[in-house]
Amino acid sequence: MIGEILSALIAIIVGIVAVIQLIGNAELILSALSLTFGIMAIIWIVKARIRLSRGSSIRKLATNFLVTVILILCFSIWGIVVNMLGLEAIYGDIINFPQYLFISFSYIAFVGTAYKLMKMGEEFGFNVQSKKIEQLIKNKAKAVKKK
Amino acid sequence: MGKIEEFSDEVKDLKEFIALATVSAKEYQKTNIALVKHFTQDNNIPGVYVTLNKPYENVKVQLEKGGVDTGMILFIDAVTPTDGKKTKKTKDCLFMGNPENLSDLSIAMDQAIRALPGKDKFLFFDSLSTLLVYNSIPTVAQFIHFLATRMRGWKVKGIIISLERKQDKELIDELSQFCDVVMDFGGKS
Repeated sequence: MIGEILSALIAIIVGIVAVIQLIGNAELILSALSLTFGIMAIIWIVKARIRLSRGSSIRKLATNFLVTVILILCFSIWGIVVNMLGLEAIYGDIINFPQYLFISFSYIAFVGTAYKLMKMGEEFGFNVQSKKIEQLIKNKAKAVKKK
Repeated sequence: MGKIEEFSDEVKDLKEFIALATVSAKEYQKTNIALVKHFTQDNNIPGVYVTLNKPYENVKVQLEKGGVDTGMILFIDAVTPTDGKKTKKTKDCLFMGNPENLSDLSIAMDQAIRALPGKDKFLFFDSLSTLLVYNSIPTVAQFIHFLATRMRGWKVKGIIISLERKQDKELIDELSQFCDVVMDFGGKS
């Protein structure tokens, strides 16, 4: 298993290095690769969301997460476009502002997702009750022993 | 030999199992109480009671009247309506707000079972028939298959209650293949 993962990793790294050598723009290639991961994440979240019950907490969490990933993807796409077309040289620093906006909003979306997760922990967590049950079982076992 | 003793005898060698218990509407309440009592009182095993049939308050009162120590049980109530159908938590019960929300119900069961102390635990699912009122047969079949798989993973003693109704017979036959024990607790409907 570890051998297979290592071979796959080595194959990917060799592939990336080969593409960089061929095209000669490492930043562009790595950005494009990051985009494919982002798109893959969006596809998986959308697939999960379709299967989850309407109005469920987990579906809402998936929606929050989807928004976050989309914003991060927008941040990356904007950066790639500006870089590829050399827009910074034409329009100046102002062209980077939308990118800052995307990353700022994605952090806000992250906070929203984390808050939702915290609420889910409060709703679905049973650890406090579990301790009471544990005590009850112990007491019952003691009572049985005494008998 | 009573039905509960018969059931107890059938599962005595099984550390964990999934039992499908069919019961008539008339015997339903009595059987539920007897089964829960069998776990909590006779075997000192804590568990999760999932109610889709009656509100938690009613179930709790009935169980207590029947001599069950409800302190050993975590309740998940999917039938009591909540504001905006949102999940709501009280001291010993999680209200799901609506029985169609099977995704949240699955998470709630997973969390409740994993929170219980000890190795021996039970999950009481009441009932399959009510699930069919709110969801389509394929959805219920898929959910019960999922539930059975999860029960094996949780290593619990799982009881799925179903009323003996003509319209549920086909589904019960199909679900029997996922269960270790299928027990008819009888009585006339």
